[in-house]
Amino acid sequence: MANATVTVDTHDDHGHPDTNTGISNNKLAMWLFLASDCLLFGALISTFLLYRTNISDNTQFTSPSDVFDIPFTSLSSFVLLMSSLTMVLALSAVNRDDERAGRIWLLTTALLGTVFIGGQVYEFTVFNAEGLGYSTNTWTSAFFTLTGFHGVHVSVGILLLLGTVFGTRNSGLGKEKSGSVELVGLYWHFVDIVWVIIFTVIYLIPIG
Amino acid sequence: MTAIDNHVESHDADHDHPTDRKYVTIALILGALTAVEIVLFVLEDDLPRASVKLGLIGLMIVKFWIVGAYFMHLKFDNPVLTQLFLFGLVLALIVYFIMMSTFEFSFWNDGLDDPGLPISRS
Repeated sequence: MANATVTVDTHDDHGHPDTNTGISNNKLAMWLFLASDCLLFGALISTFLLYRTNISDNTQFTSPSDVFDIPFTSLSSFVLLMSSLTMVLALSAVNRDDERAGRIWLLTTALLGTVFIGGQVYEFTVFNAEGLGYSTNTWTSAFFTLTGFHGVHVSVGILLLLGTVFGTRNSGLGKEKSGSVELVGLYWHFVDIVWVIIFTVIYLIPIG
Repeated sequence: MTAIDNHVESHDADHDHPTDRKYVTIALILGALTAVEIVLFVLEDDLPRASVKLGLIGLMIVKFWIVGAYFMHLKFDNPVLTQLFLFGLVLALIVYFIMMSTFEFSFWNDGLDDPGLPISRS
């Protein structure tokens, strides 16, 4: 017992939380949330897959490849992927106690996220102009619901990033804030890996 | 393994976090894998359909694993977090595989060709 106490105390010196697992409660809660969010996106992706062939209902299109602009969406995907890089660079800078670099990388991540959302708004606008509204058919409903929910997640992530940058103007964004930045980072990377799945399953994999 | 052992393991793993340079390399690999995905999509008509699908799904899984392992630090963090995340992921896969199978099977039983029209039957 004495040995165990000494071990925990030693690790507290290194900033590790004194919990049974050695993981902070906030981090564990974030991972639990992300695990449960898998079920939400799983439902939306499955629904889209069930209706994947229904694009021709009430439209002149015969296949999703008629409406998707793959080069444009690929660029958007690349932007979101690179935002994951800037997010880890932000966390790395905060861990080094480099506040200025941390803020710059966090703002860059928010900017890349905004570019991605701008691309999604543009895509939705083009779809709408081509007669593909939310209730046109079951394909459009499933598509807009899935990608829209993802867009909402990205938007929440942008707000979290901006909240982290501007909410710490007075208190500083030093190493003691690395736990908070890590939580925002976990959420952001999750949004990224969900898009990795959406991009492949919805946009790239051919039907039939 | 005791909780204290886990604690120590978690602490030891923290020292192996990638450097900024390695993060950039990982991001470039992810970008390259995305480029390969686009090439597969472009060559869709020239390659066997099954190969294209398998290739795209394989690349998607690799990208997913890289982001999870390195950017989300699952490779370096306490294994409990990986188990927690995998539990949600596998549960989602099982539940929705069963759900989609139910739809597909019901349509085969009805003798319909297209399993993707559950609502327009009525």
